[in-house]
Amino acid sequence: MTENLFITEETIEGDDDGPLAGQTVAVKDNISTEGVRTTCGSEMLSEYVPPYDATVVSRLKEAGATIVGKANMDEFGMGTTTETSAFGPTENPAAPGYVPGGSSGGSAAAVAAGEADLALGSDTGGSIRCPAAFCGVVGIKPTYGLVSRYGLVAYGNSLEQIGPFADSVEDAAALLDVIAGEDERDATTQEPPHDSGTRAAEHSSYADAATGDVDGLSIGVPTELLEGADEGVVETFWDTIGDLEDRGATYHEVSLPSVEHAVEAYYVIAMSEASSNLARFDGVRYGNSGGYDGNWNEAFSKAREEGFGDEVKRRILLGTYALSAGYHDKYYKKAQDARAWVKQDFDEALEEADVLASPTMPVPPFELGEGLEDPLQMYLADANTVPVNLADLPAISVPAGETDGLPVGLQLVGPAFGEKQLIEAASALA
Amino acid sequence: MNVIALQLANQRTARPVLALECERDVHRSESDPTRNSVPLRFTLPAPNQGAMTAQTVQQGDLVTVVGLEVHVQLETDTKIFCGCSTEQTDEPNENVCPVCLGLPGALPVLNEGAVEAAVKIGKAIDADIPEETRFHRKNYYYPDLPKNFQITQYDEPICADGELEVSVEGTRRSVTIERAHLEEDPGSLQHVGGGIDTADYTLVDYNRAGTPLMEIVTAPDFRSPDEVRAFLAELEEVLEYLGIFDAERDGSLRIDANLSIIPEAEIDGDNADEISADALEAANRTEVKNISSHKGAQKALAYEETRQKNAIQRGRAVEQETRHWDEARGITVSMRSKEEEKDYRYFEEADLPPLRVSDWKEEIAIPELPSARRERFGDEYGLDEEAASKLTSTKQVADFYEDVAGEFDPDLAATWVADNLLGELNYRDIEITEIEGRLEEVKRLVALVDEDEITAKNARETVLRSMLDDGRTPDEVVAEEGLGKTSGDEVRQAVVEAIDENQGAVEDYESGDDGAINFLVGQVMQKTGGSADPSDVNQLLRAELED
Amino acid sequence: MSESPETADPEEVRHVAQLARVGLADDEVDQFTRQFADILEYFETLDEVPEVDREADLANVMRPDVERDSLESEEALRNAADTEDGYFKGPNVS
Repeated sequence: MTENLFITEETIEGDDDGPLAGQTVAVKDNISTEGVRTTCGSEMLSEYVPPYDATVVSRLKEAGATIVGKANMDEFGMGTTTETSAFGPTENPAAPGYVPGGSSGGSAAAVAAGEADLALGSDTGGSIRCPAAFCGVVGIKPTYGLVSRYGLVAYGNSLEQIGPFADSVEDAAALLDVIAGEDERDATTQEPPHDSGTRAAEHSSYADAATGDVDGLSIGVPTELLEGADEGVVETFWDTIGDLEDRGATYHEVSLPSVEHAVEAYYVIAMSEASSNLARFDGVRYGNSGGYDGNWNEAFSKAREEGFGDEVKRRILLGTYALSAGYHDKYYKKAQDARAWVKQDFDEALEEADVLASPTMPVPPFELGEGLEDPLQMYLADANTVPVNLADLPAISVPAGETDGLPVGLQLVGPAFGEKQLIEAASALA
Repeated sequence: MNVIALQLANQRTARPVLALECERDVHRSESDPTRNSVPLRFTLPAPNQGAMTAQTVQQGDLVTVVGLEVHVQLETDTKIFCGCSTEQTDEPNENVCPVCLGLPGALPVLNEGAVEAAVKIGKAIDADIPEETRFHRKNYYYPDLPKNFQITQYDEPICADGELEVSVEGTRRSVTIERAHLEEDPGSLQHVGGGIDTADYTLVDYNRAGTPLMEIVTAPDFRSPDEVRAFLAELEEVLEYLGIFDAERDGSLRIDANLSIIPEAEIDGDNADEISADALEAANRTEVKNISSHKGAQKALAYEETRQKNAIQRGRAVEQETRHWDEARGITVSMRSKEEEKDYRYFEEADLPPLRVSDWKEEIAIPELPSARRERFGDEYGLDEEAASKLTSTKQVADFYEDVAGEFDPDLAATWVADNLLGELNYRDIEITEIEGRLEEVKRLVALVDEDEITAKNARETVLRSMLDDGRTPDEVVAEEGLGKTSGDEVRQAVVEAIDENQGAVEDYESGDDGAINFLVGQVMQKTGGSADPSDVNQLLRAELED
Repeated sequence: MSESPETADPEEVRHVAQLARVGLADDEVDQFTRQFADILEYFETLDEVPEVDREADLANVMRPDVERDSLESEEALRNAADTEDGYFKGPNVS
């Protein structure tokens, strides 16, 4: 294998039978696996072996799945290309020479390369949907609170969810069936409400909702999410909308003025949370200590200087800055306002539409090595995915075709806990 | 709120010497800009007073102002955010799990028991429990913090604006409790190869990490170390009554105290209880840490009060700093070198949904609190304040007293519980909780006295002590030691005999030597083997001799 | 609002790095200072965001006060770089 899909290749057998018996699953390396090292793509945790399983891993095992390895990722989930991994970049199996997207690049690529039937990733600001789009596979970012985060090494804990990758919407939905639902170890989880009154709510499982029925489906297209996007991507997007129209769906344009501020709000919140979530890596209880003697302040600083890569340091420092005395109200508090505003905008738009559609990524995959030098330009590539995390909503990325031979993804966003209607609509395409 | 219902009488001792020294310092401070702050402020007229005169300064006396942050460990079975036991263990790092070790990926889930305890405290101090409260992260690095942040409550505490009544030297006062909030305890550190400053390395035990804490913050309402001690003793009593606190537990009470010395002139004459925030701000306060008992608080603050007053009298500025109470040496030590810039970067803990528990205040019952119970004991049982205080010192004592007083005369019950039982327990350093299973036996002993089966003296000095020392029941002690009171007939018989056999003493008595009766009593006691009641014998003898 | 945009200087970068316990080499300080200027300028647009109320949909998620198994001490210590007699061993705190 040449793509560098896994950080650790190790087989973890599940129970003998269950809904996923006989299926192989790649698990992103920020999801804890008991007895199998979980590095988060970081030098800091290169030797860290969790003494417990993440809830989703326990559920995979109980469902009979076989875990085939811990998939490569951007360090601690911070990146859009999987190039910030301390274990080297992953190449896109669907577009050699290009990045697989990130941060769950190894997971998406493992499915695209046929090295795993299914994969788990995590999505803080697009980290499932981006690599799904770039690698030409399906990825679902669930509603915040649908899937337990217990055992997911936190980056932006108010934003992120674990979600599935697969070649088809139906297979991804079947994996979602296994991992979704309340967990007593994650106080932010909840059972989806029963009568959401949405399309497809009557199906008894997510997989059952994958009927491909889009007859009468009302699609809202936020104009802001098309502005500035690559022409080839936009063209592919409209072709796909046309395809859905041919099968009985209708579309109308909607406006979400708040999303103009989504990227900055997202980065302020995610970096602030990251600065706190990653504080625990000081080399005392786990992680690389650097082996320094002397005063704890120096020892901690050196352990973290050695253990963390540039992008992680950048986000920790900016997050620390945004929360620090004198700046908290200007950045963090304002970002929370922006988040509430984005949520409001989406809720309103979804009153007039069953789903909202946009290109998942405004651009086709980057060439390997292309974007690392300018962090801000890289952040702006997340413009279409981050608003969904700010709004806590579910979204799916499905392959929508190609531009210049490179995969393009279509993103559908639904109301809170409206995963079934997203699955029903998206299954018309893959 | 903020009206401090305290009298400011205690601290008024005239100190003319001080006035002179302050005057001198003003001059010095004019020429030396480094010596500016405290002495200069003393000579400035307070807003409601006239021009600066020596008289003003002489009137201006110093007042000690103290506010407290009290950390109380709540007695729950498990930690605040995980299911690990809070029991103390011999081995380090035994009661730890991914959550309280802060392992990557672990998430906190709030212990309902800790919230209930917090609501009980809120109810006991008559605090507001807001519609919605939240948890926040307080971000700072220290090796005892598993996550390098502490989950606490910042601007939305579970209890706000409460009060606790305290009796200091017979005067009842109300101390304002500004807030009380839930948080997690850090782990504990051992400095190896030296003290905190000189150790080679640190050993860390996270058994304590995650123990639920309530931080109780008072207004700067205290004017003396004695008041602080009285408050803390009352607080401990209340917490024990609520059944959420164990004073015996190591580290169950930890106190940080802020102490400032301010000129009395800064206190508004019309509203002596209110101290302006500016005055407090202007007086450099010290924060004294590492206090772990109400006695320690009194000692530490008395030391700190003297230290600051001495500094001011000598014209030296009191530095704003954190000081460490060294219990063994009985002094406070500057921790300036350890102080970090405080920028805690508080923000919401998104892993914990908000709490909406204001209605729990109605739903959760709390027992009658010591102050109310003291008052009721006075009204209902006619006890004086001292007895009522003793009998309400812990909930178990008060419950037992009520049990006994329900069956016997309340005064007899008070004597037996407050004096005899607590006295003997105290002598043996035993808590009443340790003999909970034997309280029925103590009641049986009171019944024996009440029914005149044995003498009060024997009951107290022989039976009760034997019960505690060798574990026998009262009936066993009475039977085995032959303490059963002799019957009236036997005593009467002995009285007649004693009179017959000791006519000399009878004559002495009849000729006015009242002391002779004691000799006769002794004779009767001898005949009855000590089982008669001497005062009964005395009466019988007198009655017989009158005839 | 008309505040001038924040521009991080090297001193500020060092200060924040100290708060966050991240050691930085001098060239990293320079690089971060440049990048932060761009990023913080971009964050400035948050000034235009109106105040919006938020309400959490979940509340009172708690667990009963019931004990669960702890980790074996050996497992708890397994990932530590250094231990002694069942304790985690860390640098001195002077």
